[in-house]
Amino acid sequence: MPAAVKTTSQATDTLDRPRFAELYAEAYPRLFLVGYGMLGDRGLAEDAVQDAVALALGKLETFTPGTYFTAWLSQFIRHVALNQRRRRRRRFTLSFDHEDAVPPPSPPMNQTASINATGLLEEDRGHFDDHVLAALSTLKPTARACLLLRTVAEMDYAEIGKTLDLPQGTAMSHVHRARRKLRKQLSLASTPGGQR
Amino acid sequence: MNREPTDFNESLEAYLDQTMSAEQRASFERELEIDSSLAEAVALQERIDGSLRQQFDVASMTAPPLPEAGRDSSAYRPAKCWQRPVAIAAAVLLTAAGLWSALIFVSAGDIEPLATVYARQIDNGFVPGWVCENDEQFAQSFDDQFQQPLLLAAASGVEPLGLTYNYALGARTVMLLARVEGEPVIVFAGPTRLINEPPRAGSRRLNLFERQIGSVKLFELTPFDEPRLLPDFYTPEDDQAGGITITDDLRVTSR
Repeated sequence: MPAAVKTTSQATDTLDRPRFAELYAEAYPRLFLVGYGMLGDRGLAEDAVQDAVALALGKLETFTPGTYFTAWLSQFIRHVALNQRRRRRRRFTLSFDHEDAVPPPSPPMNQTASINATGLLEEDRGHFDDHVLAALSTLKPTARACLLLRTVAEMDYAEIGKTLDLPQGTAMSHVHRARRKLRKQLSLASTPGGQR
Repeated sequence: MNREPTDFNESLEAYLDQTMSAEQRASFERELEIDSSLAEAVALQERIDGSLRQQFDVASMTAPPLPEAGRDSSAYRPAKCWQRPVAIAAAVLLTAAGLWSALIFVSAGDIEPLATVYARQIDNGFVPGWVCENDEQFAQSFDDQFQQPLLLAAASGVEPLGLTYNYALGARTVMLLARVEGEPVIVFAGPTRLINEPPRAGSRRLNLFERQIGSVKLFELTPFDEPRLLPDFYTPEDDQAGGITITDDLRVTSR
């Protein structure tokens, strides 16, 4: 389990601003991944989380005591993201008229990390990472969010389902299909003459 | 070995999800040894997962400070009731901002010298993470990070290579990698409000220059005795006004 992703249930009975700040700090990586899943872009995802948090702070009374904070806040992120996607579609009607259209993948966060756990040359690794991001950008938003929450945040399918308001089985199907799609694209990308 | 595709995928997903019993897992691992296509699929998936975990490093993610409650948003028009407890919210916000600043200040002491980042970039081939295809993308990259679009004028002997994102300045940082007369030069850009003091260059061989444009602080780390990139940064507003205004906010900060 990644060190920064805590596993507390985040079910809380009361929600005032200090408690909100505490839960938000704990949930931020997951919230960011939801935003990235929905929008496919790091900067947009951060903005979406911030917008969602601002909205949620103004609607603390809508939080149901005893329920899952991350899921509650994720609703706001998904609404903000949906709105951003709609605006983007209007702006780029010529080439971005598909619901899943996303901007070019933003640069990875740890581009300068020198650790190479796979033993690959950094240059190879960088190219592979680029292919992974490109393949990730072809997934539908919900599938991308499910995959990231499963792979990066290591959430179980029940938690993913709660966070994204999906049945557990649907979350699992999204992850499985997304993995297959990425494997297919990445195996093509690594084949000489294969397409990206 | 021939397997039905559905069976293949189901087994693979169950293996990856670690939902197999010990017996099933042992059986699957025996198959891995004899079925090269299965082994390749597992290896590829593990490589993909590793790449995702590295690129979305949750361990390094920290939540930005809480925004003001009820801030205007593209998705919702907030109810005006947010204004009622504004005095209390402001007090809490100020406290949170103070704590955040303190956190930034503490972490600033742990920032590695920029020369170390520079050396690592060179060791890694001096390859940027992101190559902008046009001025719009370049400006947008800074706008996304700092709400301040920036452009870079073309200059003789200067070859911008691209951008890389990290936290070299102790806050979100955009690095511009460039070659000047063939020599590697890096410009580090960070949010003015979070950079209270100039970073350390950490090398006698390299010079560090600073410039501020709007909400962005720029630091050029270069082997040259003068900045070759900082003077050529400008904003789209400068462009619309008919030219670049070279200001006197350029200075040597440290060596």
